[in-house]
Amino acid sequence: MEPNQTPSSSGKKLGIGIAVVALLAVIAVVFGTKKSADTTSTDTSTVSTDTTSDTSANGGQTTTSTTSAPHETTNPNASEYKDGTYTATGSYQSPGGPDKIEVTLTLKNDVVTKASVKTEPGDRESAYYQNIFANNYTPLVVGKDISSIKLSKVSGSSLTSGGFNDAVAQIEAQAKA
Amino acid sequence: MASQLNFEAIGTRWHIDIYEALTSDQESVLSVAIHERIAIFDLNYSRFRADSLVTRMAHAAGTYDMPQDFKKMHDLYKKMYEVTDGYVTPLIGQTLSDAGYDAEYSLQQRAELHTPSPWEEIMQYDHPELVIKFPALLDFGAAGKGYLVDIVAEVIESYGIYQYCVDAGGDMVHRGGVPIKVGLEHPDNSDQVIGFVELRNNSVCGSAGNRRVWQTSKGTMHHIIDPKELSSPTNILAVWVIADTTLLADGLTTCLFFASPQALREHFTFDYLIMRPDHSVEYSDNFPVTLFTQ
Repeated sequence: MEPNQTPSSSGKKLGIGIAVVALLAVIAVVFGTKKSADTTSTDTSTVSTDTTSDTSANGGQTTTSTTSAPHETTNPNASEYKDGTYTATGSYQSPGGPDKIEVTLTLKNDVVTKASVKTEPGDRESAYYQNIFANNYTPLVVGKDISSIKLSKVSGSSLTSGGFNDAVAQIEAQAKA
Repeated sequence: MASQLNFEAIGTRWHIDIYEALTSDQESVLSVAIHERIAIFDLNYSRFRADSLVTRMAHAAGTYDMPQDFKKMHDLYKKMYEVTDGYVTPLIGQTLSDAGYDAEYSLQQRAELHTPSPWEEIMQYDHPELVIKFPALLDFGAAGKGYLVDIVAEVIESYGIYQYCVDAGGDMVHRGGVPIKVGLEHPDNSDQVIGFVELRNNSVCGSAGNRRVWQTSKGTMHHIIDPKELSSPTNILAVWVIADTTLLADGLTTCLFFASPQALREHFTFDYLIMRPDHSVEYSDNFPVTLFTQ
């Protein structure tokens, strides 16, 4: 059984990079995903100055979006972003009319501790695209000892098969013999 | 007052909580009825038993008169097969067995792995008859345990008991007015949970891709095998689904290894939480979870 490891500071840095890229990619894709590319407006500036969203028209077939991670800093203790909750609202033109999407990020020590996407359901097509990204996203969950929380039950898979675990133990024992 | 039945069956721990007062006589009658019902299910659908119905199908083509409870399970499997473009299929049985996930839990690959045949080529169900055109080892591991949880719940309700929780190794159904707190086991550490959900009058099932792993010529395998790639998917560390039935919740945990939640939600009503290998988590709006972060 492996202990649950607390990620190192550099791991957190990497984590935020990935998380922010993922979030911004989501934002860019949501804003970029539309049939007509001439009426889009985006606002992601509150999140990262590195963000670029290229949603120029190209026949309405595809749109490309690029995002980049915050620059790696040589001092892992220096925060690049102020702690706080950031909200950006973007609007985009869907075939059914204008639609809005609201993205909220909570940053602490450059770690995204919470992220959510709120949408206002528009027509069917934009509802589909909104639905894709209207997940709740948490970049890093950690374990807490079961004994420290009052629970009625635990759901997982370690209990599914005593026989299986026995078999693994036997094979390990054989391998060592 | 409450009763609790704890026992081992179909390779897992069962914990049944009855939130109503039962006499010891009622309790033992119920216990016997539950055990008998589980035994019937196991005798029909376990590919780990030499004397089971599915083992007979693996040896002989023919027309099989299926038990009454087959229809619900068949219909869900057929729908999952269609919605996932064939990725979730009961015909994965032989592949799982060849990879070592067999009756003896040998966990040693015993044959080259093959992609299972298309559903239509092997079988056709016309209630209550199942025509097996070519012998095939069916595996109902994706949703069978969840279905059995629902069936045990039916047994309990047949005794006029409507407030209970049936928990088979972490896959469970709850009925009653008082919600229960269910921890979501950390896939890397079974002494920990990453959060908990409130469960009330619905079912939760979980599945993890890093448990029950073993080595084969195709790399590390776990209990789910991609029938086309013949390897185990690594995109998900753990997944939980909440749905109205345990059958559906259990089946969808496997579907989520192969299809996006958005695509699945066009066909099924459920809430989900997916934990990725980088320990990030995404979940649907109504998944009633409290997560632990830093």
